[in-house]
Amino acid sequence: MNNKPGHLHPLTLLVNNVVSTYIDLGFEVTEGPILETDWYNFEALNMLEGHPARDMQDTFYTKKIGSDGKPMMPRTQLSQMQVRYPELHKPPFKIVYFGKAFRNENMDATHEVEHSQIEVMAIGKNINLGDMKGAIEAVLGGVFGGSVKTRLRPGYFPFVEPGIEVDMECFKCKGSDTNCLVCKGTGWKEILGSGMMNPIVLKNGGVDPVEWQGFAYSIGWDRIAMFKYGIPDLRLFNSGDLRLTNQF
Amino acid sequence: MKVSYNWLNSYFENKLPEPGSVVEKIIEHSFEVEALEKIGEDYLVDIDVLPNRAHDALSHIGIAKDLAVIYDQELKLPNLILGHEGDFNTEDYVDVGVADSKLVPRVTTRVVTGIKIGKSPQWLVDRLATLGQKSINNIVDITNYVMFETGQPVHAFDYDKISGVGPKKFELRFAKHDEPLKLLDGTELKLDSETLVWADSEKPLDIAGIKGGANSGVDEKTTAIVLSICNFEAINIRKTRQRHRIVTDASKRFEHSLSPELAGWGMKRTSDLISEIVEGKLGTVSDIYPSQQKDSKAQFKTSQLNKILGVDLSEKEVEEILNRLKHAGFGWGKSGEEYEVSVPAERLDVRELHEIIEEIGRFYGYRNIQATLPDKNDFKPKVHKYFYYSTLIKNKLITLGFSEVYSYVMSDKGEVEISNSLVKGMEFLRSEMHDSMEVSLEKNIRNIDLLGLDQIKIFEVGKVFKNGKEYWGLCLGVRNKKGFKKTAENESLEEARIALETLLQTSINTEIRNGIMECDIEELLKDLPVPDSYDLGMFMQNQNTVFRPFSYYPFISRDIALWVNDDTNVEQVTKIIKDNSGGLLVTEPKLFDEFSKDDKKSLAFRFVFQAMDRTLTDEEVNQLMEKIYTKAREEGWEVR
Repeated sequence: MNNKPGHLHPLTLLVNNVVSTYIDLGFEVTEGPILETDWYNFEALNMLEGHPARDMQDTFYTKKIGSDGKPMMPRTQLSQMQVRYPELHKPPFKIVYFGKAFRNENMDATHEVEHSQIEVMAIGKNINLGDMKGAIEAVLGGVFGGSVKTRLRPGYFPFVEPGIEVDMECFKCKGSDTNCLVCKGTGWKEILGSGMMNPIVLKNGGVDPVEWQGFAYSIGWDRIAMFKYGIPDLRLFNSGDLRLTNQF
Repeated sequence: MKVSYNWLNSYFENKLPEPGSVVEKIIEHSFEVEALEKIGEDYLVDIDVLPNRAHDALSHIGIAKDLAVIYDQELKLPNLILGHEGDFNTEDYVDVGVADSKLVPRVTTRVVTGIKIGKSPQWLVDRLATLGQKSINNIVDITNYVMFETGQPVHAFDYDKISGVGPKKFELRFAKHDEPLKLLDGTELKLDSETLVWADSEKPLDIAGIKGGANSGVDEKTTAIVLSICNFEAINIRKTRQRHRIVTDASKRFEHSLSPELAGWGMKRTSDLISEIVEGKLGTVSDIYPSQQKDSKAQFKTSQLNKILGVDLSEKEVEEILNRLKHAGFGWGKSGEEYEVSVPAERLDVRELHEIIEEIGRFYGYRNIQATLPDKNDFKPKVHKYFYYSTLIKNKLITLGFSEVYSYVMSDKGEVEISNSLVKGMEFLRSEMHDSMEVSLEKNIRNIDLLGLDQIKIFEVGKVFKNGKEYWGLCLGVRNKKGFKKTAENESLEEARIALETLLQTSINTEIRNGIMECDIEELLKDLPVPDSYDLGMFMQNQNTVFRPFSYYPFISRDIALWVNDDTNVEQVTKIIKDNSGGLLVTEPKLFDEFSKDDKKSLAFRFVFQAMDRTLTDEEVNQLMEKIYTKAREEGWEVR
């Protein structure tokens, strides 16, 4: 244990690192509510009733009824802000927001009911996938040090199109160890889901998709903290245990 | 989707490169690959098909089409154009009815007579074996093969097991409430009135689109079959399989929507394989397809493509990709600057501008996109008041010796109730932080020796749901080690309160209960100004810690008090303790008492033993203590 008088939680350390990089790149910090309506959590993001992606989200539903007449839920992702923010602000803008997202599942070392995410979104006349790649690499460089290579490949998320999965060069072996436990010898580690905002989502936020375009991506902040600090179990983060915090 | 490399290769005149490099290309342009495994003379490629490509790519032809575009190679696919010719009229054998053509957009039916059930040819057995599918008989193998080849599920009923005399009643209808059905795998089900079934005049024969029934399956005595190859509406299939808790290869495909054109292709391919492999006579095809799928086209301009992808492709480069897409059934034309792309029927995912740009972008290769940074000058970001001040608060609290914890916002009580929680103790959103703080104090006080502390001082900043409002709460908790009297718990909290009041220039009016103080941060910040910018220094902390795993086994703490010479320093003593503790010391020995008398001084230490892999026994620790005592005496120190 180190000997500072008090200690910040490792997730706070990491969010400070990430968010300050984005502030430096001209992004605005914002936030959305945890308790959310079906509209903002699903429908507005192109996940209509009966959409298979709704199953994948293992949603907690509450007994509280939202303004759309449907049960409210602790948000399953932070992407609500892709609609909420444009409703109140005219583009262009660049924003970053973070907090907990919720998953109704049994917990183990790699499954956590309350997991932490950071999401980043930018809308402009010419914001494109190259800008997204640059913004992602800047922040991974800030977290892992030096320049970090990424690899973009096809992915699918209902609220983006094209949808893109981003892998980062393995921070452990940099692709040099075929027995590496972190990347299983592939040299790459899947790190986030991203893409260009779906025109349907832009419209739902009151943005004209002919004039404006944007990117959005979501980082599993606790998973990055596991990699960065070598923390073996996701459940430690919410444990309230100083045997974790006081090491930092 | 499990795919056979040899099977894919059979569609190419020029053979594919070796499996490893094919896998690399699939990852780059199409899908993640879970595994590549050599099986006999073949390779199994396990591909994680994306949900929006389940329309077409849960099939060998679908994957082969992507590869044909990637490698710019001509495909030689089997003929899939359905003809209706046959040796007799299927309608004379079955009277096909469909209760709801919205839920079943297309129904193709064909009777085949004079069948000899037998073994499948070796090539068919081998291909299925690579996928982990056991060969059953020629007819069943063909139906499976066609699904894995085209993506279209195929079902064969034993004609003689259908009740009645020709034309026998054979209809797709809703089941009756509680109607029994035994499935092919022996599961007995009670159906409900929302479940679609194929039925004869007496009984249901299957759960349509999901699983066959035991009463109508093909077996070694079968001589005539009814092939039923249909298209089902996706959501209904999904809801039905959820109600009955069955997932099958067929339901996985139907619940993501298939093109109704596939049903025709599946019928053609199944019929051809039956003609080739099994003796038998084909009837005509009954095809109920009231509203044909329309051709679809998508338009884009090169400038739009470049603007979204962040690339600078020339028209020539775009056309090179469009030409490659022809291998997968796409076509294109151009008028002015606008390209018009015709989309093959099975590609239900390509309709709009962004979707055709995605299709071209992925074959161009997202890896070729160069990183840039978004324009910094077109937007003036504002400071987020809560984030700004909460960071200041956290930074202040750690200087006062408080450490930060996170806990769950879900709890066993609160105002907002969760109706479907799978996790015990998480049935509500919390309406205070006091309880989770109490739990955290309890947990940490048990480990106080391990932590090397006299006082547990913690804080949490987290969400609270109270009076219909969601807000950021701040909660501080202090608990003293038994016997620690230097600073009372409430005194430490008062000290923190005053420090925060000074920091924020506002008063914090909240009561302290059982060593816990809780308040609403947003309320606290109500009258504070929003600063113009952040001082980035507030976010700069040491990031280089590497976590050291801790033991989950119990620990044992021990004290030692020694008379030593006045000139003996603390380090000399701790070294002796550490060197003789069998590597089981988990904390630095902590000096907790020191006083001098004459030319001697008394030093008292506390330290903690713990093993990573087992529970330590008292005897084991006693032996270590004896060793430490002996060594101390050898130094001339007196054990008190």
